Amino acid sequence: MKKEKSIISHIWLILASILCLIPFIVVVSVSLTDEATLNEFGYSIFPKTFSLDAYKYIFLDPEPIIRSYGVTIASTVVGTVLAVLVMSFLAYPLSRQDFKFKSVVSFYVFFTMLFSGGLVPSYMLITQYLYLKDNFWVLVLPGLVTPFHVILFRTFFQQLPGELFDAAKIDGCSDVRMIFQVVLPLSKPVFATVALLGALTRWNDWYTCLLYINDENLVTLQYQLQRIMKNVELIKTQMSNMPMQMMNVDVPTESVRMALAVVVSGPMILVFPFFQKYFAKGLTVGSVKG
Amino acid sequence: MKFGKRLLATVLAVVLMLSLAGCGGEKKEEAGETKLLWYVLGNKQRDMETVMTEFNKRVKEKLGFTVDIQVIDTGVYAEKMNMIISSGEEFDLCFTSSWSNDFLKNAKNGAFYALDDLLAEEQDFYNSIPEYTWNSARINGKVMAVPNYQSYTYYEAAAIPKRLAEKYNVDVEAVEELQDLEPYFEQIKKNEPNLYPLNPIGFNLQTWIYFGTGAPAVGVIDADADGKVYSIYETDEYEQKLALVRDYYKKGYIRPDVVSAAGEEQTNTIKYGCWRVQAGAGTAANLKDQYGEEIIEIPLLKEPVLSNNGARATMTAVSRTSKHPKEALQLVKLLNEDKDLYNLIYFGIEGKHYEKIDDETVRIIPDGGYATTNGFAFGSQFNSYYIEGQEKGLWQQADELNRRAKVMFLDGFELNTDNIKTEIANLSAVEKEFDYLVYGAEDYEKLHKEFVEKLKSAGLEKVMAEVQKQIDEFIANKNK
Repeated sequence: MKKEKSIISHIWLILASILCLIPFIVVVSVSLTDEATLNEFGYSIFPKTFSLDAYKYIFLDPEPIIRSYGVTIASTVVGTVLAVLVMSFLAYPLSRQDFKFKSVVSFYVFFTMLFSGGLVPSYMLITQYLYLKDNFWVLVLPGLVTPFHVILFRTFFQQLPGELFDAAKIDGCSDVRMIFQVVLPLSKPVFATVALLGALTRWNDWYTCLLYINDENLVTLQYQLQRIMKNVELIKTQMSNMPMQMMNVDVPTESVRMALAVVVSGPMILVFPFFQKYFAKGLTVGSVKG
Repeated sequence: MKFGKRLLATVLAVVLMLSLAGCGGEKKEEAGETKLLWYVLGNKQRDMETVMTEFNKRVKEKLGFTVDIQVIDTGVYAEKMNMIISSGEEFDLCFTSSWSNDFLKNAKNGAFYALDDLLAEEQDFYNSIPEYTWNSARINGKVMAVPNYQSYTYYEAAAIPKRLAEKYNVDVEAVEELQDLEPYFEQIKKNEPNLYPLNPIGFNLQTWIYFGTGAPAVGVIDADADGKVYSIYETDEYEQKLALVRDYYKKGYIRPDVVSAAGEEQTNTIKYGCWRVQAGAGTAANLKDQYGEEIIEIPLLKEPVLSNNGARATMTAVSRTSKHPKEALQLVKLLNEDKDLYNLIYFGIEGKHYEKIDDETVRIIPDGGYATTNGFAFGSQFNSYYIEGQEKGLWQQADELNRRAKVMFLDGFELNTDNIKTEIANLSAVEKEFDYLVYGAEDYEKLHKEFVEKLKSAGLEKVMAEVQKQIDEFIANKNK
């Protein structure tokens, strides 16, 4: 009986994972097919003809891609490290019963979860008051505190035994040291979870770059992809209105687009498994006392 | 302990860097030095800086100020400008059009500076292009942008690769309508397994006979000039077209998956034996450039038409937030009058980015770092060099056509949609829902009836009445 059940659930899960895998395999396969075959037969799971032309085309002038990798990695690493630090610093006092302004600060944080100023005001703030247009820090600063992640942190910190803190304090431990040497080592799962979630968002973020970056040296990877798609989209929808010259905008072939997608998303797919074990743990952590 | 200290130090260092970066980002205009900010769309060029240095040197000489031209990626230009304009950011000039950074919307919302007073002092410049182009730029009677003069005369055409036309003996001269190409489609179907014979998308009924009024599904017949509005989708012509595409679909001239492939672009690989283009002076060269082989355009409408508000395809507007509107207009004027300056921003520097084949024709140097596609955004296209392959005298031809072309009687008409906003949105939605009918993938009789029914319940009659009322007023005013 029990065995039967597990077979069924296994089949179910195998199917589900195949469904998740297929699109990715198709992308890889398309990137390895030459354009003529694509035009004739369309997409397929296994490349009908094998060709590395698309990758050759991309790496013919690898500089923009490499530069974008640099920007994306830098903004992801710096952003994630800063975000985790800032948010844990914010969440730790909120988890302590003896913090006087707990409710006020909590309200301040969680209010922004429900209400935000909107896109135009934040654009005005960032460009006209903080002068962060075409500045690397615009990719890092605006997303430093995500209220939901603060809640994750706070909930995790709350279930740490209070006696530990008392003990540390009696031994003369300062608050800052408490975070680094007591809270942090005990809270690895939640740090890993938030870091992973944050890193994913940062890695995939292209909209910030669209809004605030016009300097080619600061363009992120995802934006490289996105602007190609946006060019294609514009040509598709506005073809009859635009001047003819515009149609000559360099739109890469389908296999090049897919190859770009592989080049851009590859590293994230490799990193993911390393975080995975913390990830599952961290997620259930928040749910109990949320 | 050690670990904590190191981390703290890192954090502090980062915070310090942040505050420094914050200061560095601030831009201040140096005293006495005017620098205009101009947003245009296009592909960013590696060697933009070299060109801009030279460009600014010349502008400074002639006008006494400099310009910062910010090129924004074509696909995101509209989104970015929307944010820049709605946040009230200060800038001087921007590209605006009907297809990106919508002119109508922006001008109506007061984003642009009315140029009438400034233009009054520049009569020569004003008179250098036909009056109807300025009319396209008028909102509530005020000129809101400077049209970049280019070819406005277009005809609907079917495009066929020349090599195929020759292979299958298409008598191009004899073709008057799409149906005359049927034998060709049959040949393609039989002998060219890599191609679909016909891409039905775009072959547009409205532009064959009707002209848009600004409301979906409602058109007028220009030749009648009486301003009587028609429900486009209830006309016999529309039904005939449906019958035709259906027939072609059944005969296998249209790809079976046409509905799902409808959005698929044919950007630089030929996938069809025949597709629709809007042709005009110079299209042939453009098509050749795009596909790498010669393409024939077969006109499907005998008389060339002036596309309605065609001047809105590319314009330059002065921002309401500009502190130097007068200088901004001076710059636009200079770019329209100074051929060398215009060609500098279009083609770059001679010998480095392009080489001259003769006095008027250039060849762009590949990998020169400056090969733009946005030359139309800077001024009159007729000032530009010919690109290798373009026939000489093209600009004169196009200019002449422009000036000769019949100005449609509705030119300058702007539908006020205040009273019929909901209905128009509904109509557009219905129109979109049924647009696949013209691909021929399904029997149309029943669907067509349903389509018309839905249009009616979406408020077609109300819209028609309102449009009719406004057109009547427009004509009455015109005849005054």
